[in-house]
Amino acid sequence: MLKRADSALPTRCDQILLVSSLILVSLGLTMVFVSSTFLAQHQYQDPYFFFRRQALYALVGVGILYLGRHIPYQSYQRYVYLFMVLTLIGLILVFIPPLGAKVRGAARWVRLGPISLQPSEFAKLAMVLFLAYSMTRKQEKMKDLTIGFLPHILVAGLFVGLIGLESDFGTALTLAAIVFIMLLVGGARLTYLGITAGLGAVAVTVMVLKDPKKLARFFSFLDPWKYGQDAGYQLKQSLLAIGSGGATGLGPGQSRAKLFYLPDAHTDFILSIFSEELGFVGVFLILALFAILIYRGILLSLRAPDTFGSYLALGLTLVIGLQAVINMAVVSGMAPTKGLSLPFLSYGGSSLLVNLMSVGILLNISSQIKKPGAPAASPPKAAEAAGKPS
Amino acid sequence: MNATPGKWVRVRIILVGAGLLFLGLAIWARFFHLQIIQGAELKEKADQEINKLAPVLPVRGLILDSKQVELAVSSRVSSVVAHPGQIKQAQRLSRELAPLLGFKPLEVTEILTRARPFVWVRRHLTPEREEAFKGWLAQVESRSPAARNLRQRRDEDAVYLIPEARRYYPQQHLAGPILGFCNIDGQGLEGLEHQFEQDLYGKPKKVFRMLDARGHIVVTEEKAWDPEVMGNNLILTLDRTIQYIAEKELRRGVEKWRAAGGLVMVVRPRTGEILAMAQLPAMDPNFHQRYSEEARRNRNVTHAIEPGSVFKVFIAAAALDAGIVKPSDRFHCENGVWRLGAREVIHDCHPYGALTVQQVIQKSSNIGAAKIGNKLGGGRLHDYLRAFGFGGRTGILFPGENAGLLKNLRQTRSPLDRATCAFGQGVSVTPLQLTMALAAIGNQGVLMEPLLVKEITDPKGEKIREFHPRPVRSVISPRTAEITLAIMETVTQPGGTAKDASPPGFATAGKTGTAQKLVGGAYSRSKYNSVFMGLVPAQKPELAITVIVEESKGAIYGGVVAAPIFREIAGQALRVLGHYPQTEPLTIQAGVLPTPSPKAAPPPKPAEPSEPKFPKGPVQFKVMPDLKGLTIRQVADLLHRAGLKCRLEGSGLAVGQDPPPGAPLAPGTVCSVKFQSNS
Repeated sequence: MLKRADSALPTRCDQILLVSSLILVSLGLTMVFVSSTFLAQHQYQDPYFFFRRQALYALVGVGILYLGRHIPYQSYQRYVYLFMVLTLIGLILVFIPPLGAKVRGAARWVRLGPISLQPSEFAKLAMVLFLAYSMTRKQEKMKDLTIGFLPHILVAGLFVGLIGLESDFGTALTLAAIVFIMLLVGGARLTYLGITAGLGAVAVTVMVLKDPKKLARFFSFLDPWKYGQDAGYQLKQSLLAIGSGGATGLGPGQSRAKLFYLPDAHTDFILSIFSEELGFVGVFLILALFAILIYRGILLSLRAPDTFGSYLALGLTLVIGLQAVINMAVVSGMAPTKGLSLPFLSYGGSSLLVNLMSVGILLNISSQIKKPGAPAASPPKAAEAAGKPS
Repeated sequence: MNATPGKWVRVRIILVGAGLLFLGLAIWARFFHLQIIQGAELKEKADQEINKLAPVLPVRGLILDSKQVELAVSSRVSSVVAHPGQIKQAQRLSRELAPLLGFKPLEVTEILTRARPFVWVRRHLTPEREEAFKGWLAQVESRSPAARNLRQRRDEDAVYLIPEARRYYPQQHLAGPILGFCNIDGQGLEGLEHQFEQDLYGKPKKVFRMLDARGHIVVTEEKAWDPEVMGNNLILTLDRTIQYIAEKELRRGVEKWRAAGGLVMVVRPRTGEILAMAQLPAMDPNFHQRYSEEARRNRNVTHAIEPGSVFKVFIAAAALDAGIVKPSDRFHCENGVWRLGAREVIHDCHPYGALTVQQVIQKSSNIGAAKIGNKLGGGRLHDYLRAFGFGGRTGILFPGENAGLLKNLRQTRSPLDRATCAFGQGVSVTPLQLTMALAAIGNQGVLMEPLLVKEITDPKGEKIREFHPRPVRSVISPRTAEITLAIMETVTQPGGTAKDASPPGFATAGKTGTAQKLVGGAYSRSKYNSVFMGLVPAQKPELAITVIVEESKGAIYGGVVAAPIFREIAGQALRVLGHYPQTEPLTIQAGVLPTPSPKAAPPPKPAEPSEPKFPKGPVQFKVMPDLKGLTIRQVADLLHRAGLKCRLEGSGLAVGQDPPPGAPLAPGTVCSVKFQSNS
């Protein structure tokens, strides 16, 4: 079943992927509106403040999606290093005022006039492009330490380190996980990866242990009720919100956690508000949409016309899927709390742009899948191939 | 570069997909656990955190006059409150708040650092201050919004506005001492506000309110008061217009005579309804703190004075009723000086020889009155005076009623005490008692209970309680009352002590009085109360009015000082009630008095509208009312409303009845009434 060039996908592009991501974007817009009005009114005396910005980004994002859909993905290979350098500059700029903007002790944004961008979001995209390009070039030499492993790890380490310095640990760890998985898929030696992962784990442990506040925050997710007043406050509120939703939710707009109880209600913890208002039914819908996205992405990765496309599709799927999974695990108290947005749903322009761009590239890859080679290939067989990738 | 990845790469990609699928399933299970299994429990926890039991402050009911004019209302104001425990930098906050609220920074700091969970910073803000405070809040909200962590409560969040009800008296001074006032928490302290506290206060309740994480109530701006917390409304018998007239005319009189104060009462004799109760000094309950105790108290009820000569009326009425004297009986008035004993001397202002009972009242002879009192005897005099309501509380629903002072004349040995009582010395009465007793004479001898509150309605306007006119007792017979009225009418006629008391077009049955004020246990030589009390129109009294002017300068006599005030009030009040002066010349009632009466009684005028003698609505009688002169329809209606069975005979107007007027009534009494055609 692992033959290349499967044929069941539509030749133009993956409509299912497109539709599910657009549904997610519109759900996200609605949720940003519903969850941010109080905060916006409180902070800006304008209940539409966040919604208007998010809607603007969504519009631009759909434009970018369209662009990505029509630019042949192969052409990105030529600009990989340019992307990398630009992202690196962005990652460094966040530390340099006046362009870098510090919000709540974290330097994550670069202010360019009225808009502020989050380079760490773009770093994910650049990193995936870079790895896909580099791994495709190195192919059989991936097993080699100096050629296949060290360069990637060093570049990735620089990026992850810079993002970690912003104290955006969520993104840093997610990026590290994406790099790790991509290298693993690309054929890097498990031993090297194991050692690196071990070293990384030790480094993280040391950092966490040095800062008791981080330690408390790290472990508070194990018992949010005990730390409900300080480190576990956010998670406790999140769990209360999710639980309040029950099976069918309190009803649209009826969330109570958004009345300043749940911090970051419109960003990282938007799913809590969503599940409070729409209940388990709503969560199921979100999970299903992400599952479709991931499934189509993995399928694309398997059917991509070339190795670069395959790696690229995998990386982009991870950018969306892995982050979504981690975010959901965080808000439901399965993983330690860290700043990580939910793709498409959370408020945040850069994140939305990057995610829609990713979908655009995925759509382009899907559009380049070759038509069934011969009419002899019977449709049932093809369907079987598509339905059972493993 | 067109090569596709190898087999193992594809396997690994599928493994990644499988891993993500597994994570997705785990998350699905986790949400299932949180929402379906633990959902109810977590929701309850959230409810506890979000819904707090918040008190809803009660709103006092309205006080309205008899025509539903608002005398006391509750308006919505805002108060600034704070939670000192949540404020870290009280001084910084105080500096910002002080100028907005009109405080010194130190004062605010003191309030904000009290060891209490909740404090009032400033209550009942003026609209300007409220605007200023709201402006400050908006400014605080916009202060570096992005750089703020919402999890940290700011000091500013611990200070906010809450709505409150504030008592407001739109008529200002009008009826101020009657209404009384409330403290800032809306609890009645004086007057009707105090007396009907239970009804007016309202029903505070506690409701679950959704609070946001900063402790603010989420839904705030309610436009109308919650009817559930509103108190009941009080509808008074007072008439705003008559009250205004009484206050205005009293003020004019007091200013004219540069008097220390004054009191006026206007009562409807047939029902005992108080239409006006004016006093000077008076107060505006909106600013009750600024006034003296004297101005705040409703002195018509709480203050007893020596009535002086007006008291003679009741002595004469008692003696007439007891059959001891006839109006034409003569008493020798000792030419102005009557020595009761070695040091006990009674004087008259003007020396008189023999005077009839009627003249004793008309000329206001102390000696004559004392002799009439003596003839009646201490015991009976005392019984009559008690029956008129002196020396006891009238039962008005008002706090702090004074019972006055009436010595037990049955036991007193001193003839002087008995004698002085007859002209109103050594007794003290409240203006209320005096007016009610006066009204009894105008109500065919039946003393009514004073009514100040007509009904109590709930916030929606539905009647809860109604106060009906209630006769206390029949003090004197209707016949005696009629004679007494006729005697009193001579007071306002040429030769009487108050020639100028009658409003143009009306005859007045009145009596003057000039009482020396007691200052430190002795009668003052310079301080007098000038009194005039009167019933108007004399033939069929609609109003019983008492006017008292305290410590007037220049003139002291009731007929000079108080009577003109009476005339103004009576004339205007009658007009308000729809009584207009008769154009024909007036005469006193024929056949009642033996004194020369040049004109015959006017024939009954058919043109005069026959008004129902008794109030509308259900009535309750303790004693049989006088039905004479009523039509069949009126009688049937009245007795029906009083719950009495009746047997009616004849046609025309009522001429006879059984039981007779004034007889005590038992429930279910059958009365028979005879009617006769007028012609």
